[in-house]
Amino acid sequence: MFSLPMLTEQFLLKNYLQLRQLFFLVQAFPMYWTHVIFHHYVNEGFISRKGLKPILRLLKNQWFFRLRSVSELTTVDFPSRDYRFRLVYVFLSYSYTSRLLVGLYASEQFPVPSATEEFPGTCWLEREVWDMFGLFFQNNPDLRRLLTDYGFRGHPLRKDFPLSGFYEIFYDDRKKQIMYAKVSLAQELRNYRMLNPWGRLDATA
Amino acid sequence: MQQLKNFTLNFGPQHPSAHGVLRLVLHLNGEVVLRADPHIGLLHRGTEKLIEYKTYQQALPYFDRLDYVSMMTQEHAYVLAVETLLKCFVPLRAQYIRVLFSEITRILNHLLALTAHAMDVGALTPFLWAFEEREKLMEFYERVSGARMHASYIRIGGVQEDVPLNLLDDIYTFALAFSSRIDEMEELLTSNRVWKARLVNIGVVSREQALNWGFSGVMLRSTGLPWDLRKQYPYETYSRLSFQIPVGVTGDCYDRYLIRVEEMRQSLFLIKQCLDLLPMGQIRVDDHKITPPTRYQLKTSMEALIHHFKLYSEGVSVAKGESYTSIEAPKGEFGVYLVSDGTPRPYRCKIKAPGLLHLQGLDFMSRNHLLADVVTIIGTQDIVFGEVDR
Repeated sequence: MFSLPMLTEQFLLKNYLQLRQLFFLVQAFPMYWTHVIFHHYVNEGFISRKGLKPILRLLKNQWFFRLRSVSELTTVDFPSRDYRFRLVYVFLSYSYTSRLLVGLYASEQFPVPSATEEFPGTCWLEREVWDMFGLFFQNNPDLRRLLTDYGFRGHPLRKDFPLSGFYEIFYDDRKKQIMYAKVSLAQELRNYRMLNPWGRLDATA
Repeated sequence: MQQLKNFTLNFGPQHPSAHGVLRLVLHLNGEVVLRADPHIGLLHRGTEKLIEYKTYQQALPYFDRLDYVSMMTQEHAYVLAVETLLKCFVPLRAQYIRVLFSEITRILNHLLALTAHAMDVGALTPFLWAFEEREKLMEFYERVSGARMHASYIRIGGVQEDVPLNLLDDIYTFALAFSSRIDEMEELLTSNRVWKARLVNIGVVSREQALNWGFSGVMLRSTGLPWDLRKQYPYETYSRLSFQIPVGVTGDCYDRYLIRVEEMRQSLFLIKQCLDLLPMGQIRVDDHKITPPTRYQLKTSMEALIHHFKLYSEGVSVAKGESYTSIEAPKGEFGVYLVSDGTPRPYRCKIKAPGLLHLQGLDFMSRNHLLADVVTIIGTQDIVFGEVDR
């Protein structure tokens, strides 16, 4: 007794709408698109940084999209690439019940224009990306650190930032105050890679 | 000329009505709030970083600990995200059990949200009543998973165990009695003069604002938009169940209170439907590359033993790809953005917490309100710092 929630008529219809939307976008701004990925569950278009502003404006206001809010803005770090950060916007349209993922590549040297003008809700999301990855957003009105400690240095979600961090914080009972010190681990962090070299269990193969 | 400066007040991080560790820097003109600047991150544990170093199964318990009053819905979101990447379809019985416990969790959350809100505003009694009911719900959690709160019951490919004997009967007994518990709470609050004076026309959010600031869940529905991911993107068996979406009219705190009460009633209705419709069958995908074999199989079959060993040492290998999956958590849209590089560990796992975007809206919601109303607004946003700070 299995049900296939993915393949309902409603789902296919929605997916079709998203596809149409994406094609429309590519046609409207052919110069800004680098590539488009069609997953079986979500479609994602990649744009160049220059195209972000006009595309944001179009997505928000054009009747065919009406992607009125950004439900998520996040970054994935690929340290070996030239443009190491993949920035992903997850847009949501309440009129069409559709989602659209728009991605772009950036790095520390090439900051991204802020989306706060069109979508004020992205302010904290951009702050979080700045805090966690050190990716700068131009024209963000309030680009402070969001989640890390006051005076924290470094960007913890980068792949080259160690899991244990650099500094630890503790309460010194003799000095009666909170102290910072270099991390000292009694035992080195055990990070086992259990991958066997002769082929893996592949659930999706 | 005399220099006049506004008063700056530090609120929290150790304040009972800050719902955890919220530090607010308030700029006040007399008692009127001019600007509220929330400083968050005091409960930041780096969940997303930790998840990158764990296998997909090991990452699951972190989700219980994000929003520690709606545990199972978050497991649910994560598990759905992994299942999307795995392209695996869960047996119907498991889906119904998941929905059943999602709705139990919704009641669990709303009971705390409403009554803690009431306590912030000054009514202590409903809080005590609600905790008795929450205890019963947590007992259901315990009977099904062994843990009162951090259940990690919903697993990749199904659920951990089948529901134990008599549990469904007891949930039914609870559901029969619980609607009059809601009535009791409503008798005390809904038409209470003090309660209404503190809530009506406080923290009004317009539709435009809610959309711009990315609000979701009750905060969005209070503006009159019937947006519920259980209806709009029906996951699991929600498309087979009937329920209604309560919406607000004015978008103030009182509307949000009424919506939460009605959502509890709808959840109760959904629980009863799940109990009626729960089919017999498997509770896990019958694919031992994804789910572990049973104990019996483990002790009789060599192959099962190997599968079990590889699952708990190497983990599930998930195909390369990315997915954004979101569910209607009691607090709003809870999403998980997963990037897999084909190994048993997620390359990146971003948790979209509804509370983060709501707390961002605290500034515009509390402007030109009195200092005491800030507490009401924090309460109505249903902030839990486990998920805001991650």
